[in-house]
Amino acid sequence: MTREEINHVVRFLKKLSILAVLLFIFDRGIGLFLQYLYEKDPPPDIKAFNHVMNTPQEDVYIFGSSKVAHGYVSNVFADTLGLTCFNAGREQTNILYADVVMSEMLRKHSPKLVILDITAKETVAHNMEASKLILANLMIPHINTDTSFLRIGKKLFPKEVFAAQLSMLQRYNSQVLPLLLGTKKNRFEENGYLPVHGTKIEGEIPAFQDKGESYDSTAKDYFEHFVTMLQAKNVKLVITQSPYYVQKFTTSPSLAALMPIIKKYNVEYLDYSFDPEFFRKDYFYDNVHLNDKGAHAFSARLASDLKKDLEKNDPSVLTKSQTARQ
Amino acid sequence: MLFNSLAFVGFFIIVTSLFFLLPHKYRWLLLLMSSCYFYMSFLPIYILVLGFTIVIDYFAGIFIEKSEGRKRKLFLWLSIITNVGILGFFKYFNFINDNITVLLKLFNFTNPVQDLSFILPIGLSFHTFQAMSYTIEVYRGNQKSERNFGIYALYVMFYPQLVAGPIERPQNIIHQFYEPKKFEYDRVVIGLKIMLWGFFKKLVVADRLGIYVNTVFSNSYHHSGLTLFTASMFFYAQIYCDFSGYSDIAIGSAKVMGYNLMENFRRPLLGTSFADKWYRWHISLYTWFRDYVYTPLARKARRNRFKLLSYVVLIFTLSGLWHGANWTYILWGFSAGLSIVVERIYQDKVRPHKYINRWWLRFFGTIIPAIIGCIMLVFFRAPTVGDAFHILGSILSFKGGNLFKGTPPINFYYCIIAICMLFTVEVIQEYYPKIKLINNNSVVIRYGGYLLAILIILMIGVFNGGQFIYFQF
Repeated sequence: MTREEINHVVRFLKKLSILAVLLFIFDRGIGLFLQYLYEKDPPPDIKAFNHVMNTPQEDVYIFGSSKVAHGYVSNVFADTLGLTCFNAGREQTNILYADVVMSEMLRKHSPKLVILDITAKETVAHNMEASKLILANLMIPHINTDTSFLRIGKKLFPKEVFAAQLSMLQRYNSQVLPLLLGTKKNRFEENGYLPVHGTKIEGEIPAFQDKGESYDSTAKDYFEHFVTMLQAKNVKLVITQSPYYVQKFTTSPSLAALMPIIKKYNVEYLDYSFDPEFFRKDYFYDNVHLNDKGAHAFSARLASDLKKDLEKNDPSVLTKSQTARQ
Repeated sequence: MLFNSLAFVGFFIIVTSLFFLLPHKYRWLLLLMSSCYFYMSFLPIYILVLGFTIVIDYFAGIFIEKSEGRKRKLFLWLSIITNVGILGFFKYFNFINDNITVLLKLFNFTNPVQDLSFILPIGLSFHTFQAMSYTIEVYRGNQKSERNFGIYALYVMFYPQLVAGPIERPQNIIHQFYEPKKFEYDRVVIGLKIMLWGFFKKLVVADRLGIYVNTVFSNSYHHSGLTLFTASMFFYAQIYCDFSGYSDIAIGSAKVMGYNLMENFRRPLLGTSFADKWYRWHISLYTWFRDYVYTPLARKARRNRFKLLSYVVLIFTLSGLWHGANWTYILWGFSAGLSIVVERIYQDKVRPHKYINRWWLRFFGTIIPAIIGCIMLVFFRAPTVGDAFHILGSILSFKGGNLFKGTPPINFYYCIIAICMLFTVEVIQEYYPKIKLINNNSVVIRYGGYLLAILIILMIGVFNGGQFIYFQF
């Protein structure tokens, strides 16, 4: 390098250092402000997640994707079964999310009953990735204070954890708007249930669409782990399929992969996917998700079926736990 | 190794530092070795495919230059057939075989040939086209054959543009590998600014929009016409930011080391006609088709207007096929070519040229092709032709229902914010170039611009949006 070049390098490094210092100051400054907002009043969605992970108390937990979040009315289950109930379903997630959250929850609390809703696309690869992304978004703000979150993060999304350790803003990535604006829907007050209203279905009933999907074989392992983990803790598990409003199908690659595990461990399986009682346009928000009306009808039926079944086969489940949140 | 990964950041810093620390005579070797490492970080075995074409084209170039008459042509065709053959084998074999199967089925025959199962070598379409441009230019006498095998290999493998372009011409880049490069503060900063804008486009706009687009297109049968149209518009911005973001990072990282790659995008969203949008879109590919396919054909057509226009459609259809072995890409390319031809006929016959500079003509000239372009992109995005027509049917018949924003709709709002930021910057760059942010003379505004861009990336960028869409081509 010539003398002139070295001067250019020195000038460049000086200015880069100034930028790095400024960036550090702004990253920490804005990051601390977001942390303050987050701790003071977390968005309800995050509050619901934090509750399931850190302070679980309910007797019944319902896990699954957006079909659960919008389709299972916690209060209907609570009233019918006489137990406390929380809907832990989350949009765009699958069994990976349910397994990770349940593993963490079981370290603190053993519910009496867990309902897991599986979908016909449960093992689709992009759902696995989406689950990791959502877990990353929800857990990363806590990685500096919660060692178990850090452990899970390092296993499932190590790059995101590394970035979040470098930058405080990264920890609150994509949460700026919810933290600044807040949100009207209070999921926590509805015990995790997220109602959607009305219907947007028009025209013919479409066929189930899974052409070109790729599948992740590890989803099966997560599913099996979920089942065995609950059985080891003597927690009653019921696996369900909630209704669809698409042309009838009997199976899918995902369901075909999971069914042998359900049979192997003799898990109770209730399939309402094409139950004629719910195959009504006015019960659906779209072809996959029940609206509030449909969710109430479906939850009432499932809760009643469960109650009958539990009274007959497992009456101890229906005894309310003393620690449950009122 | 993706450009939007921490591994690339580390790789870039190490390679660039070593580049400036090493004496000039060893730099090509460093770049070649690091390019090999970069390529092998995807799927190591395919370096052999790349190596094979490099050897063939290297010797083809020398023999073309040495030979005369028919022999020259023979060596050129040897090179072209090898490149096209490899591209055809890896990229189009299954597509052709599937179509033969369908045809045979019509006559109650079965196809005994099975599809092949392998992953397409990354960036194959890009480096085969770049390799072909070398032998064609040597044949035309515009470029001397390269005798240094390492330099020729570097021309094909230069890591910034190896897997997704810009598809360079030998005249532009080979001589630059011989020129000593100094560490110049101003140039390095310009390169880094170009990279920053590329990261912004990829992480803040493309990958953010991708979340919405993927959600809608993976359940296209369940969504309203308005939702599908919105997703198509978002996809237009997504693919532009994804690809031009990659190009910017490539151009910027080469610029830091002192190499000037060709411009690949010139704000195509603001093009004032179909043709203008295409002049600004993937410039290195469309000029490739123009120089090596259209121009020779047009010379033979001798001003036969029908032939010239049909060649335009042909070029765009070929460019569609270049993107992927699927009828959806072919239909997309065909519709793009047709739109240009229709526009050309309209411009010649109907539009009075005296209005050409009127603001409203420019405005509608920008908006209408953009909307039609979004709708045509449905072919590009849909997995099958059937799905594409279903989506188009839903859009054009205004299939009822609300606009899907997602639950919660926060990602949709980020998409709107991202698009607004993109358009603001692009409109300023296009129409108000005197307004500058990261190029401002004021140090406060300039550093404010840097910080703003980086902080927005950290706050709302999507960091696991996956690979660049154009890597698959």
